[in-house]
Parts: sequence; C-alpha cells; structure tokens
Amino acid sequence: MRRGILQFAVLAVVQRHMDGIHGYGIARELEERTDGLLEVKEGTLYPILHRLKKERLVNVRIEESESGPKRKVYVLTGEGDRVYRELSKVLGDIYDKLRELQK
Amino acid sequence: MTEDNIRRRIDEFIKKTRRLLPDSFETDDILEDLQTHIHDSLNDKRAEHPDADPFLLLTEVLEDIGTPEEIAEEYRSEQLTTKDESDFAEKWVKYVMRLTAAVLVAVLAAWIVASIGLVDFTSAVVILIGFAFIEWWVRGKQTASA
Repeated sequence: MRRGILQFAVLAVVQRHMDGIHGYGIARELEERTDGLLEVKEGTLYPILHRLKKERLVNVRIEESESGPKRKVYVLTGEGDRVYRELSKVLGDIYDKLRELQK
Repeated sequence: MTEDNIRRRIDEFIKKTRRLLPDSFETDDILEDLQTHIHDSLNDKRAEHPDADPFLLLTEVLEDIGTPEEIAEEYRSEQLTTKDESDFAEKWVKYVMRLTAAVLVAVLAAWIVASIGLVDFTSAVVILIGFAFIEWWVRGKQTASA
C-alpha cells in the first residue's frame, strides 16, 4: 500500500513542476511537504522513477551541471497527467467514503 | 586535493553499491540517479555550511543515504513487490536477444578463424558457443551471489 501511495506522491510532486524536477528535489519535497511522513529512501525512490519512466508516465530531460554529473530532470507526460488526475479522483472518493464510515 | 578525495569517495560508494545490484540497464539508470543525488545533496550542504570541511559534509550525506547494503536491500524489496507478467516477458525477450547476439558473434568469429585455416568452421562454432555459454553461466553465478 505504501508503494502505491509513494508512486502517487511522486507523480504529484512532478506534476507541480511544469519545467520538471530532478530526483533530489523530489526526495526533498516529499519529505518537507509531508513533514517527513512520506520520507523516501533513495533505494526506493529511483526504482519508482525508473518504473514511471518505463510506463511513460514521466519523461527524462538531461541537464548539464557545472558542479557535478549531468542531471536527469523528470517531467510529467500527457499520459502521466491523465493517470494522476484519475488517481486523484479515485483517492478523493475513497477518502470521502471512509469519512462517511466514521460518522 | 579535497575535491579529488570527494570524487574518489563517491566513486567507491557507487562501485560498492553496483556490486550488490543485478547487472542490468535499470541498475545503471538508478546508479546514475544516485550519483547525481549525492552531488546535489552535498552541494546543498556546502551552501548551508560554507565553512565546514566538505569531506565531513560528504560523510554526513552518505550516512543520510544509508550504506550500499541498505540501498541494495531497499532496491530488492522494491523490486519484489513489482514483479509482474510484463517483467517476465521482458526478461525472456532480453535472454533471446542476448542469445541471438552471442550466436551471431560466434558464427562470425568462426568464419574468420576458418578462413585463416586454423580450424574448420563447425568446430570453431562449437568451441566459441561453448565459451559464450561458460561466460554467461559464470556471470549469472556472480550476479546471484552479489
């Protein structure tokens, strides 16, 4: 279940950056914006990004760096945007139903 | 000197992690990302603490990331949850492509050796395919024991 949530969270972070975001930025944003709740280990994050790329939900752009190796910048594809919107709706519905069950 | 030491330490860390992961395009991709991640994280720390020893900051970065063994463990548990039929099909396509490439190389090499006249074509093909099989088997064992 955590894996599914993390995949959605990674898509959500990438979706917020129209010009793309690099792996380190995704890891930082996941940690900072969820107060550490979705802190992700590097051994988990990069296989997730690799899979999202394989499923054509994100694209990679290579960026030159003056102070280190070339950086991969991850950008959401049209298909990624569609899947993200669909998942957002499903998660919203699940959340609403769970709230109703609590009443 | 410090910059050289930093680069060497990062390279050692990546090499050690590589030895613990399967030999695949995915591993290359992930290790590239990991290397960039280490550089980005170190640059961030250097900007935050300009007077600190960069080598000590790198030690902090690597401690935050975890040991190569921990990274490999995370990677394995992530992979175990994502095995599906498409991965299975992809694996077999890869095997068939590798096998075809090995046979083509063996036939080409056998033709060259036979044309020189050192050995006849059929024997050369059998010997070279035998070597290719041994290389594939040893590589498989090394990957499994890593």
